[in-house]
Amino acid sequence: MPSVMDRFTDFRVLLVEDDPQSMNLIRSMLNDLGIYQVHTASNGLKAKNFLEDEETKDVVNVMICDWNMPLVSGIDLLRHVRESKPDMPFLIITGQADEESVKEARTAGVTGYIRKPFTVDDLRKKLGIVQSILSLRSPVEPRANAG
Amino acid sequence: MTTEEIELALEGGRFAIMISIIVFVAWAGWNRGLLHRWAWRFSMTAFLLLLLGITVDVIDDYETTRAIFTWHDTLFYTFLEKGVGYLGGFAFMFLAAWRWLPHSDALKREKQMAEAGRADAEQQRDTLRDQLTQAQKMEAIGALTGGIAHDFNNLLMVIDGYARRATDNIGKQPVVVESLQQVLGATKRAAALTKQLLVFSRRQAMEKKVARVTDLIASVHGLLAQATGERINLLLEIEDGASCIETDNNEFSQTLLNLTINARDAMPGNGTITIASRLTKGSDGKDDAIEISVTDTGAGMDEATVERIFEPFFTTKERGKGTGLGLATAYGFMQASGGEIRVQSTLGSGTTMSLLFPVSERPLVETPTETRSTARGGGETILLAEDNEPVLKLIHETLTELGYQVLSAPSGFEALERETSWDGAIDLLLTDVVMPGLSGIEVAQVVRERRPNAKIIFMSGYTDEAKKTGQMPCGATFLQKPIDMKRLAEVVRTELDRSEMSKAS
Repeated sequence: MPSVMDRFTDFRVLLVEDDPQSMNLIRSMLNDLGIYQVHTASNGLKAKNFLEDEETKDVVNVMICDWNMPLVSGIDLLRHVRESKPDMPFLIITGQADEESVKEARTAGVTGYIRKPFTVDDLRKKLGIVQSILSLRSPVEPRANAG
Repeated sequence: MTTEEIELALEGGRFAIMISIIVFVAWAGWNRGLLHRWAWRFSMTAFLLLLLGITVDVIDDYETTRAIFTWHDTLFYTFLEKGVGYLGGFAFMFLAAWRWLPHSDALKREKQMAEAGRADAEQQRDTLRDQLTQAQKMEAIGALTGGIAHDFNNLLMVIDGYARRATDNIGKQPVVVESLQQVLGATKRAAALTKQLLVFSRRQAMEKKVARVTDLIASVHGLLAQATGERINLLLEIEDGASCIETDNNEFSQTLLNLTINARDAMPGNGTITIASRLTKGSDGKDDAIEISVTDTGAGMDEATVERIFEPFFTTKERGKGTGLGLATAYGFMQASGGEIRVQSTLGSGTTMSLLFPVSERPLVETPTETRSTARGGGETILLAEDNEPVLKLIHETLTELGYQVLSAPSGFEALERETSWDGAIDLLLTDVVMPGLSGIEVAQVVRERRPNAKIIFMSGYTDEAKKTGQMPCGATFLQKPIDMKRLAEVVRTELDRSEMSKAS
């Protein structure tokens, strides 16, 4: 059975979070899971720029994004991303369990939710599913340490 | 030859030249703008002759002329001398012109033809434009009706499901029971209507099953005989009837019936309709295909008609007798079946319409004729993914009542989350195909990888998206929405039993 370190090495994450403390926490959680290719954006606009810039637009393959952000909210960003990358796994971090918003995000094509507060273990489970989806969608992509 | 003789010949020549100039001018004027290939040749010939005559005239010197004519010796000399040669020449020219040149009648005809051609071209252009408009309209109507029918199916399923549950639990209250039965009746009719809409928009999901060709034709034969009536012979010529194809039984029957009715209508009097099947090759010439053809001995069709018969709303029948959708639907059905439809027709001797189905490699599953009276669960675990919440709730409650353990999720990702955190076995995945985010097909692929023993049932109102991805796992069962809860129970039971059989073997 592959270790946790083996599983997530293909992940190239764009983490969008406006609160610096949360951002650091989540980043260290991702590092704990063996994900070191973590790009960050402190707001939705920066994330948009990152995804539109010729140099960086294909860098990441997974997005983790906070829901509540000023200017461009998580769901706005989600809609924007879905226009150009309908298949990119997009996890949204929700604080409140507002059913209406959850439905809205589901309709907009969110991949999954991460409900605050969450532990490394919760994150591992979610990313495990994302890993399955990624390997399903690009079966030819070489997987590091696959053997 | 004396000088007088030459003089005489030249006089004749001048006269002939004058005549030829008049004829040429008149003729050239007449044919202005119509320098036909032949007209051009003859006018050039005439012009050269004239030039010769004029040259002779202009020289006006007996000695030289005589020298020329003497030199040319008898033929040309005699020709000039007699003058008859001229006449003969002109007669020949005239006759030739009459034969080859577009004289007035031919000219009129040609003009008429040109006008007719132009009118034809204009009409063709208009027709093409109309067809394009029509095609776009069809596409738009198709998308609209498909969309409406899809959403409407979900509503119907909820209405139907809850009305059924209410009927089952209401006890003895005749008025309520009767009212609910009315509701159920109306739901059934509405479901039939949405099914029609989906056929029309060609977005309806087909419930494909592997079936023997003989069985398929036999199942519809009675209906065909009824449709053809007594005055028409209905012959069956079945070869390779044991081969299997994958098709939707109802759609197949409908298509064959349509073709047979068309064949019948092509023969107002007596005639013979032959329904034949044989093994052949598909359009790529490689894969085996089963050709099922309907041949009539009727009037046949001209090429222009053959070209248009698959167009929606094109009909050769009287107003009100045909919708013009029969063959268009047949065409859509054959495309959805991965096959093709062909037509071969000769005016006066009849028409053959052929349906070509790829031969199925999948094994034939004999469906038991008796369904279980109680399709109840035995504590099996079902993972359910459906993004429409009322439908999710209805299916969840129904399956729970039947005795299943149900893990339900409103999206693909959440279904996988439930699957991940579920330690026990999962016997069956029941999932919607089209969901935002993660599709049912992807969910099924992940689940199949992790739990190879889990059976899979897909549900959908339409399968365009599913087909586009082309990843529908083979061997999966497909349920067309709206799903009758009783049928759902049966299908779930059958699928689970199948899984136990395969485990046992």
